[in-house]
Amino acid sequence: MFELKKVSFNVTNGCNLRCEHCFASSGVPLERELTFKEISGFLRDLYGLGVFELEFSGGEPFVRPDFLDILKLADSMDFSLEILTNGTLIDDKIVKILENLSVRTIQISIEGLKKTHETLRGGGTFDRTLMAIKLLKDAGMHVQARTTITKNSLSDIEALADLLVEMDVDAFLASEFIPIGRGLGKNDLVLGFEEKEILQNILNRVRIKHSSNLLIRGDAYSGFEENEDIKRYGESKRSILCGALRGDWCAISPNGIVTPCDIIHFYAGNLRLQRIDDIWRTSPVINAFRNFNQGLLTGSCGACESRVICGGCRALAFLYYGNFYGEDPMCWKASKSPLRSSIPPTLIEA
Amino acid sequence: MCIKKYKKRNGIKTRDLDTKFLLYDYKEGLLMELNGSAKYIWLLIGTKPFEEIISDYSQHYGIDPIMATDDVTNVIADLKTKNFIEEEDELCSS
Repeated sequence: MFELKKVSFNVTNGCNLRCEHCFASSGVPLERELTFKEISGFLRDLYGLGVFELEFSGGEPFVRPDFLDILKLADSMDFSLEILTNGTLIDDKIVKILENLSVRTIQISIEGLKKTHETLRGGGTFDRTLMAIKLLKDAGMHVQARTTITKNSLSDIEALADLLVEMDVDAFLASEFIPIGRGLGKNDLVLGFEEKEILQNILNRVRIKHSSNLLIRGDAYSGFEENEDIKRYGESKRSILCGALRGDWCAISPNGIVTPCDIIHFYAGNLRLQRIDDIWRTSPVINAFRNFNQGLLTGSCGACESRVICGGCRALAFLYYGNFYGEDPMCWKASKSPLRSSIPPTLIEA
Repeated sequence: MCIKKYKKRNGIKTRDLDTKFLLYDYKEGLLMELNGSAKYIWLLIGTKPFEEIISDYSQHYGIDPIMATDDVTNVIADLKTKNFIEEEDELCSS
């Protein structure tokens, strides 16, 4: 029985920034985003399913005028809260509210040092982001920094990690840039295979240098034995990287679409038409991920010693090759495998 | 004589559902499911000292005090190991 443990709720597509690489093309709220009343009903259903973990994101969740009310409601219903934010709207007043809620962690996006960060996110954002980190850490909150690693940010990572440790940030979540959403066509940002290997070496150096002062997490880090995420998924071994394969996670879009994947929004159901428990039990899309058979993986993923604990990105395999069981086109190990499929030319040139 | 008492740790969340009772330590991300008798003990923790929990449990389930002591001790030990509860300072009288 696959039990839903965590839900990632994108409360709005609205955002105060227009980041060059945004996979969700966030900016303007969608038409008919879920209302506060609809969200209340949804949270009650999640409670009934035994879910504790809620991750709120967007767009930029703090752009939503009633976001703090949503957080307070979720807190009053005894949920554990995580917030993914660009940090630029966080001030003293907001921190005072957050420190009294059951906020497990706040994930703040930071793309590198100032120049690299602001090239993607806009002028003036770096200092505002650092200020948010400082305010949150001064309040004793758990903060993760999330970096979407591009070709331009590779050289910043070690210095960025040093800065984050100085600021007492708790974890560093490394995610590789995928050219989708507003990032579509920005192949100049995509890491080439050699650069992916360089990234692993950098992350390993960071991990060794900062040891327990900065936990390294994220799908870009394939040192699985040292990846903090592995401790949470123990024996299950149904992929530490993919909630869809693990069968314990789903995402909700601002207008109520339920999807097992945040990269491609496979339509599993709509909260305005079906209750979440019904979608969770019966959706053929969600069941397709649950019934995933690692023995059918092809190409370099099929031959990889980490195929069980990783599984590769099925969404990207489907997007690039039209094959749910195809190899992950973004995985750096693919370049070394004699069983690799034909790699899309944009990745080779990068 | 010292009275031993336990209390629930801060940050523990619960779900009391039809078919199960769940505890969740949100800071550590640890989940624990309690069966019916463990749930009964959990609900008493913090309200009564250890010895009274045993006698309450013994009466509720109609079992002898020795077996009740074993059951309660095991549940408390498990909850303590997983950090869902902690000991309060013992209250000792001369």
